[in-house]
Amino acid sequence: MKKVICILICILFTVGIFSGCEKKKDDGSAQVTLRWMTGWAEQKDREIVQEYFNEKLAKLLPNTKVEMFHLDDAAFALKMAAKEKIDITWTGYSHDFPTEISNGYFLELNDLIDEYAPAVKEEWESYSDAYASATVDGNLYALPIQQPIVHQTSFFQIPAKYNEYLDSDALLAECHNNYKTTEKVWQIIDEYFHNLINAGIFDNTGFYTSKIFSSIATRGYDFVESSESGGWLCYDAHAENPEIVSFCTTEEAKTFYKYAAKWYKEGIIPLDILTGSETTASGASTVAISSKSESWYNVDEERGVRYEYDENGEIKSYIYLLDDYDNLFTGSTIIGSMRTYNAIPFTAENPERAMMFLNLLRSNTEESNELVNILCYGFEESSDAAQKYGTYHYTLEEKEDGDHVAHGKGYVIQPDASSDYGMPHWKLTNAFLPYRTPNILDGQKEWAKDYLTNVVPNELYKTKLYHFTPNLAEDYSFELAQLSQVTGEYLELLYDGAMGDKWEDTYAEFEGKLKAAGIENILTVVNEKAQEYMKEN
Amino acid sequence: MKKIKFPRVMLHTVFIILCVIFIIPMFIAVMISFSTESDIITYGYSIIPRNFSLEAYKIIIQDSASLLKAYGITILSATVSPFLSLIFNGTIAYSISRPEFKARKIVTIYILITMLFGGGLIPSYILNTQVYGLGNTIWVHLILGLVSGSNIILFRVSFSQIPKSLIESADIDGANQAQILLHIIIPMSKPIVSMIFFTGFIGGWNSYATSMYYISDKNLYQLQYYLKNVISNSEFIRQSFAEFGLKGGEDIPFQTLKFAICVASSLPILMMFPYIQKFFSKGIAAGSLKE
Repeated sequence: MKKVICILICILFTVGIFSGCEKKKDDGSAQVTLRWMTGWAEQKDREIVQEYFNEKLAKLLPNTKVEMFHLDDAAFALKMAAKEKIDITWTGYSHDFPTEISNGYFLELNDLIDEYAPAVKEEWESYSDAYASATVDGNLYALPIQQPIVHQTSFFQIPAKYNEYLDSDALLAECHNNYKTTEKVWQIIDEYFHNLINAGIFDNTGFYTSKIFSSIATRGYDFVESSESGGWLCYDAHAENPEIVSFCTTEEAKTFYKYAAKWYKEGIIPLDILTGSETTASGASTVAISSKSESWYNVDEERGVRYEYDENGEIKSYIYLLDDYDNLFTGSTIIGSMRTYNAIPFTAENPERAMMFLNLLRSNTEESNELVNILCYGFEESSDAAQKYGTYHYTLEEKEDGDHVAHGKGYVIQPDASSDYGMPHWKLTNAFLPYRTPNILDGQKEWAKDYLTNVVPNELYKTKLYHFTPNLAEDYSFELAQLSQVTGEYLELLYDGAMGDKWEDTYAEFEGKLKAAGIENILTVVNEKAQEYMKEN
Repeated sequence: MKKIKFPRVMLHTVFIILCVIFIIPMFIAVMISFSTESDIITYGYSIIPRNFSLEAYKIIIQDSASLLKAYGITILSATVSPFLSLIFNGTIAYSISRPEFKARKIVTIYILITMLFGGGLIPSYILNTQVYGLGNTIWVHLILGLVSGSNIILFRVSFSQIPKSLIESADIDGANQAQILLHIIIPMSKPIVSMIFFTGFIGGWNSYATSMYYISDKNLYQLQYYLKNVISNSEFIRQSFAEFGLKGGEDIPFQTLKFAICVASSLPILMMFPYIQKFFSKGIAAGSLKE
């Protein structure tokens, strides 16, 4: 009898323990407030816009309210560690998205999409490349916020007044015929600097080398998009069987170190480069600046050179585009703007409703687009809300082709913290759907969609490690931290040329420290993973 | 005629040179804040601005209501919090400085342990937001760090140096412990009280992490965090202009803005410092001597 009682009690306890574990489907009947971390500075009229937004939302997704809030990037990990309730979050380029995934911050979305989000599912099928960037081992962790940024361009920008001193034809020819940066490129740039010196007009105020190094020297390499960036892990984008290496130790990097040391010694690089601030650099006044920008520009229309104009319509700087147009590629980082996402954190109290809400915003109906517009811009001038609250935030203009463009109040391209209201599309939702500010996307909507769905996947060369995102952070965090530390200590010295003639000694020391930090071990592991990835794909 | 002594002249000369060395960077910072961005890019930093501009300050005060609120929150947290801190730390220190208090050794060790082993950011955050519910409230600016082990120890050492006879005579005259603390101990510990108050004041004035971690309501931002956001936004707009190839991005001040923000955030403290520095030097020295 005792045994029977014991067994019954055990069964009772077991049933009791698991009785709360049944996963109830969200039928939308419970009142829910979704907490949405938008990742954008708090706006002046946030409360009233949110109130108006929730009024409209109630008709489309009953029993649901949204509370938007801003969070500093640095505070997000803390909130996750503290398991703070957040239903939807922005994540992306300023976060460490791969590490966030490996830390388990975000829910896997596949089942939620199947169950609650037909519009998202359709979008996933249409923009599979974009969604692949948020997929690890077949699990989707975030919804990409699509912007038509599709191509990375390295450029070299100089003031118009200096243009005659640069052999631009030679520079463009060398770059357009070689997908990697050859020594001749640096010789041409070196010659340009010396032409200015000989003419007595050289001025190195505001001249910095880090961007020149990271955007020009790295041409032709695709960087592995993961938290391993501390070691600058990359591979030859056009290699048939690519081997992942640290860019810091490539021949292209060493060639740049050599020229940087020379320029530093000759006074071309400012002597205070290690303590200066790069942000003052301007293409119209600085001897040269460079960048590798993710761009939505149609590269077919803009081969070779772009111009920057002053207020009188005069060219004030030349922007030389250094792509090798026959060898454009898309790899783990190129297919652009995939680093801005909406994710559902593991701390979400209402993940089902959050997915329903995200689905609504992406469903491309008149009502849902209106919601997106309220989110992005606030009140339209002619809206009932503008009458009610006595303020408005944008004016809508209908174009000849039936397209619409929003003119935000107080800004031209993007809102800022001082704007009455306005948050960029790329922090909120699919940028193709709502009205756009004129300077970003006017007339570009269909082109962008076509470019992302047809041109990019079909015309750009996909590297063998396309969308390869190894996760080493969990098992090799110590080595990665060491690598990051060593790179931080030495790389700037080398690309700023600050060691002068001793650069080779410093480089040897750097190489030794990288080895001691475990670079060889990391490369072995990551290359094994790369081989597996290539076999599977 | 008074004879001018050479060593005195040397001494004055050295100190004048030192003063100039210390003042010039601050002066340059102020002047840069009144320069135009294009002058900084083209000609670098200069003592006298080539073209006078208030553009950077215009950006700071663009949202004057928010700026004033941020000043208000900062002044509140920089004054009320150190004041409350004096009350809490002072009373704890007084009790453990009294030999009659039997548990003083245990309490002192307990305080020392808190100085050696901190809870860390995440547990503190969970405690403050999920247990005490301080997140996104004004209280987080006032209550965080109210009791500090090191301040209690400083107070205790200072209180211990007050002659026992004074306390005994007050006791004989019928004063209770609160009266002794208020009328005897505190007046005789002015340097340490001032030092702890002003250290707390400067800490509160310069704090931005509290807003970053605990606050999402713009109305509760501290000044430093508000100004940090002004810089971030300005940089973002410049980058946007550059990215989309639009004119005028480089005209948005960035360097001058940084210096204007330095001026806006540090001027009140700089103006106060001459009046409070004597308390600092005395306060820091307090407790360093053993009778």
